[in-house]
Amino acid sequence: MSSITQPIGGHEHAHDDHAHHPTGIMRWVTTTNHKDIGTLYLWFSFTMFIVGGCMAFVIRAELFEPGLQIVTPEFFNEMTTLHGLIMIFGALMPGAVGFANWMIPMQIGAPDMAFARMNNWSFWLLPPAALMLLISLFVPGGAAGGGWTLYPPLTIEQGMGMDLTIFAIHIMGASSIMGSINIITTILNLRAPGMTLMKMPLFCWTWLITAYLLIAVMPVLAGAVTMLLTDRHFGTSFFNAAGGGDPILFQHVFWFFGHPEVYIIILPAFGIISEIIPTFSRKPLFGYASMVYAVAAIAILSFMVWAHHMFTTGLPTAGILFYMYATMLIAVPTGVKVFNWLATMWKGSISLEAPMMFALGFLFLFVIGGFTGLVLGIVPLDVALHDTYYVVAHFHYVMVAGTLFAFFGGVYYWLPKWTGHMYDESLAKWHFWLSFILFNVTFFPMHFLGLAGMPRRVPDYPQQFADWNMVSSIGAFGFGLSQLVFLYAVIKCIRGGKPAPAKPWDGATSLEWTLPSPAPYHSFETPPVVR
Amino acid sequence: MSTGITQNRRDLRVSKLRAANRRTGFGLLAIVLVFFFGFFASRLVSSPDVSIAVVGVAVLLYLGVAIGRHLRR
Amino acid sequence: MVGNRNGRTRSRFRWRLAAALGAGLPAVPGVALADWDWNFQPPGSSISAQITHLHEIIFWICVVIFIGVFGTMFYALIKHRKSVGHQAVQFHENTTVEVVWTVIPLLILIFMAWPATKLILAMHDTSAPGMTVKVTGYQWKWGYDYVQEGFGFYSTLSTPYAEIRNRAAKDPHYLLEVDNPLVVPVDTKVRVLVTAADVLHSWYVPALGVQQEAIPGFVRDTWFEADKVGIYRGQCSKLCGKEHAFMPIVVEVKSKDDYAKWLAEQKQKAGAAAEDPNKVWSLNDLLAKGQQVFNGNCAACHQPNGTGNAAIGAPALVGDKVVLGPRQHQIDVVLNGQTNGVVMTGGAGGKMPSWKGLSDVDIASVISYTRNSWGNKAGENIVQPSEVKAERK
Repeated sequence: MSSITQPIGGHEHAHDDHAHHPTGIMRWVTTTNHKDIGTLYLWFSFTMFIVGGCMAFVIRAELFEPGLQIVTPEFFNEMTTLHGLIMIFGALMPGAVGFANWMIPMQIGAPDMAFARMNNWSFWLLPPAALMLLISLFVPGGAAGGGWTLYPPLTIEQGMGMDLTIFAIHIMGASSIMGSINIITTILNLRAPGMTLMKMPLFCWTWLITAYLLIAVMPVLAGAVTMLLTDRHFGTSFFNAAGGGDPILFQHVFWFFGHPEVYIIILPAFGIISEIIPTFSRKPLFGYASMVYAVAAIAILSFMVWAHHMFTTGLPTAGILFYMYATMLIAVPTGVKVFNWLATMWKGSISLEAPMMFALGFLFLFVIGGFTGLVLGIVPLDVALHDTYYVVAHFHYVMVAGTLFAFFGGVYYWLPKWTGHMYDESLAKWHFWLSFILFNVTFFPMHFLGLAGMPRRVPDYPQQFADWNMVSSIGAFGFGLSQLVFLYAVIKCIRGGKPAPAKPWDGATSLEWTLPSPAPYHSFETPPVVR
Repeated sequence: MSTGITQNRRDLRVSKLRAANRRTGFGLLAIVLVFFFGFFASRLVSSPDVSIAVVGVAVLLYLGVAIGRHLRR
Repeated sequence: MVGNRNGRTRSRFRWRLAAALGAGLPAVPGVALADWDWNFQPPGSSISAQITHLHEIIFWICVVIFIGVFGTMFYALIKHRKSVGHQAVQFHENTTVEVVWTVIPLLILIFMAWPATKLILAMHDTSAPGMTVKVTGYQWKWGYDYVQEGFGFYSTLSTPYAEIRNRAAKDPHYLLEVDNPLVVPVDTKVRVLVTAADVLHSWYVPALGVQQEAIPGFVRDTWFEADKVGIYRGQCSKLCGKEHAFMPIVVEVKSKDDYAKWLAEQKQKAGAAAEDPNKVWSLNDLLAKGQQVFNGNCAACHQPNGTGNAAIGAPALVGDKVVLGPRQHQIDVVLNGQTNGVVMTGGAGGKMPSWKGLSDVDIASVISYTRNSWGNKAGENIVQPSEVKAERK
């Protein structure tokens, strides 16, 4: 959308001190370069994705058939809890920050992030936090087993694994807040001359709004888990019914964080999709301004719908109606985005490289997830479906087929820029089709299970749920294994391949494609002028 | 000498930018702290309905102002 | 739903099948076994029938929109491909279109919200029940109290451990069977008061259209009215610890006559245990009985030694004015409850709850117990069941 008059790649190395950066492991520990940190974030995210995926393997293996075969119910609960926490705080959020680190400075023509040292710090907080979560499996009493939602009073009863989880959440929250402050400051202060906010690529916009959401809700989550901690150890009774607290208050507070969190995870994915679709349609994004407004509307609405996670707690009727209407209203801006993407493709000149395939897969499955979300938002149906596998199906359609597919698309889209090599298109296509099909084999049957009334978070189930569970388990094993194709494709691309031109996608327009591939270690040290 | 002057000017620009960054950063950090402690305060002051409403209104105002400001530019 | 079959053979079959297929193929094990339920359970109440109907409406609207949206997308993918030589048309804005696709979804949503709202109002109308049952979630069982009839019981999983551990063939109702089901009459509006004793639970019977979270310290209500005689099964749906999957709910709906018979039986059983309210009890018998009742019902807040718990507004009973004062007042407090003028967000909502649900003998004995224990020596130190009965009116 922005025409560039002075595309200057910064090869000049104005600051010589950067030239002698340490090598080997110390390079990564001490780095303040946004590209290095972006890489760290992305690898960390993928590692956590594999760890959380292994936990999903345990879950699906136990659920392969009725009866208790492999693990105890306690350990099963620890697996579901850690799977949720690790995937959300370890894989999806850091993944999005990784993209932000790599792409935002290059897309707005900035030399680096605004706070380079804090950037290093906010990454290096994550591995210890993840380690604490994993160590909690081995402490007496085991890891937290109350579900990722950490509802008291159950979580007040648990052992010290719960304390480790609380601290891990504190640390990851701090990391997210620092990352957000960095991103907002970068976007507000470091844009190249002429790069007005309304000219920014949509990815920067979605991240700007996401970062604001993070700043608003992360302190609330930190507050909630701190209260949990004081309830556990210091005799307060915020949530402890036995001492006069209100367990439902925790749910209010948690979902006050938790619902915006859902959008924190999905908005950057929207941004990536909004980059990919115009590129491979060879057409500018349709309705840029309305896309920005839709994202803003979604962000604001996300603060007014949290109680739709609590329809069965017995809220007053008036409250329930309000939250139902507000929830249904979110469908409007979300619909606008989907229609805009469609209109972008309409009468374009479409080609179907891997990033576009993932974008289309995203669109297709995310819309299904959106529809099931609408169904769950309608209170009478939620009474029938709340806390069943229907909900599990719904949020995996949004989180996995939504965010994760967008991330895959983003990786293939920018890999040429990151590595200087083209990825192996046929491997990527294999990865797409395996993921797409096996994802549906895994999660589509869960809709049926939920409709038939199977509760979530159970290690064992009645016999009428047996068949779909087996299908789902087989799909899950396949889906997990097909991610190895992705790993192989990425490593292969890093190690070699057809050299990538500066702009491998002829429809791409944003600033990062004016830099050579691979992008130089220091880019845009002299800001480009955007008109 | 001319390079020296450019150098000075560049330093000035960099330090101005750094100051601006710090301002933005501290502004955002202040918001974080207000939310964190305000949350406890509102909980201790009054009933859950009131406290959640207070936090809710604060967040909405913040979002309205924060996002609204940028939309115009 | 599920036919009788040998679970063990089947289970071995499954593993072999999985081993043979490996990962990847969406296998169709046991097609002949027909467990492929994919929709709501057959409704057992008018509310759940309406839920099923509402779901159908919304499902088909979604399907139509889905086909419209992705029909358009696939048309574009086929016709507007670079490989077929389509040139991109560089339009990127159209206010009319944007307004249209904002307004039309809004109208569709209003169309969906209307029947949903009506159904919500019906589901929340707990007035004029035919009977009331109090449901309490425990780790890991359910307690059912027939509040008006004055008896209650626990309902625990009856599936043998050997079946869970795959050492015995699984029953068709594996994990959905209990020792004492909740029994209710057909065509009667049953108000359900739901609470929990320890952590969160959730009382979920899909076929009756009820799901209500059980919250310790709070009582929530919901209702159902079964319109067919039969057995309805559900499970706890809120993660409540390790045995979460093993606390099912079974509701047995009987015809009104059968229910009356069952009720008489239960009352007789309870009565046999409860004794005649007009009998005059000796102090020692009352104290023995009273201690049981106290520890089962009162000690959670007032503590087994009567020292109370100030944090939740439960006063110490040692030296308490009410306990040492006129007995009639204490009977009144126990029967009808009391708010101490201070509203606290305590375990029982910050107040002494009403204990009308206990029998006359229970109340008389527990009051006598408090008046004679932990050093208390009340002037009026004995309360007989007949006095409680008189006070009840």
